[in-house]
Amino acid sequence: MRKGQIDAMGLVIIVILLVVIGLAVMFFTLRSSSDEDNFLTIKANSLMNALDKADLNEGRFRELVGGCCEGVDSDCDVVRVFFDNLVENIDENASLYIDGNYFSGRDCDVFVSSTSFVEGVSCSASVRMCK
Amino acid sequence: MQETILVLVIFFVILIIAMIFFFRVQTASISKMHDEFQEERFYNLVMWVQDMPELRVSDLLYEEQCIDYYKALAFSEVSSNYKGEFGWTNISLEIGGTKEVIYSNKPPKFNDLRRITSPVCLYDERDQRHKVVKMEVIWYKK
Repeated sequence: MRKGQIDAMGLVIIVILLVVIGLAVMFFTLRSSSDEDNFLTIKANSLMNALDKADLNEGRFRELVGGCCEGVDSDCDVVRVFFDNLVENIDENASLYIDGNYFSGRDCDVFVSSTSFVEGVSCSASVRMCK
Repeated sequence: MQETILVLVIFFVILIIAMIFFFRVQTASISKMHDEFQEERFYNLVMWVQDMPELRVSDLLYEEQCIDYYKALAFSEVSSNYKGEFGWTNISLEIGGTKEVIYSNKPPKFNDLRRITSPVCLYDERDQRHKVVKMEVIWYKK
């Protein structure tokens, strides 16, 4: 090879390297977290907020959850029926967890959880939105 | 001398090709970022609408994150003034099987539409109850 050809090859390699490095930088800087995951979190928290305030014929949802935690079976039944009907009506794949255990709704393995509300001394409830 | 000129010509040709490539990628990524921003704005509408003073339940100093049914009805009458905030969207609440549109701005032509739903809290003064209702937001993409 002549000197000029070697120089040209060197420059081509430099430009290719710059392109590769530029692409790698763009790939890593432009990657963002999924908007849909964030939206599921918004939905889960919005549902939890609505449930926290919901008034049922038998009383406030929050108080009924508290009664259920204390072992009042009728309160548990009301909460279960209400939540099952709710997910059916609003057509959401959501499940209700009380004290960390599945209680009602559509359960799933991959989910986004809401913040939980605490009723009484140690009774907590949260909802999970399926992905 | 000729070799050096040739090398420089090849170098600049490659450099120009690389620059054109980078500009194209950059333009595409800016356009993608714009779409992502619009999408994030669209998703956040669900949260934002519930927090609007025009819609949320309030009584003297008391406020709660819950949509007031009568405020929503009143808002739907003046919501055409909120085009800057909501853009090309349709926002509605499904209350007991009936759909109450609180904002609607549909473009004459659109390429695509996105629909999201979320459960929200609604205070219905008619029976003085807090309810869980479905909010639907449709985004018309031009």
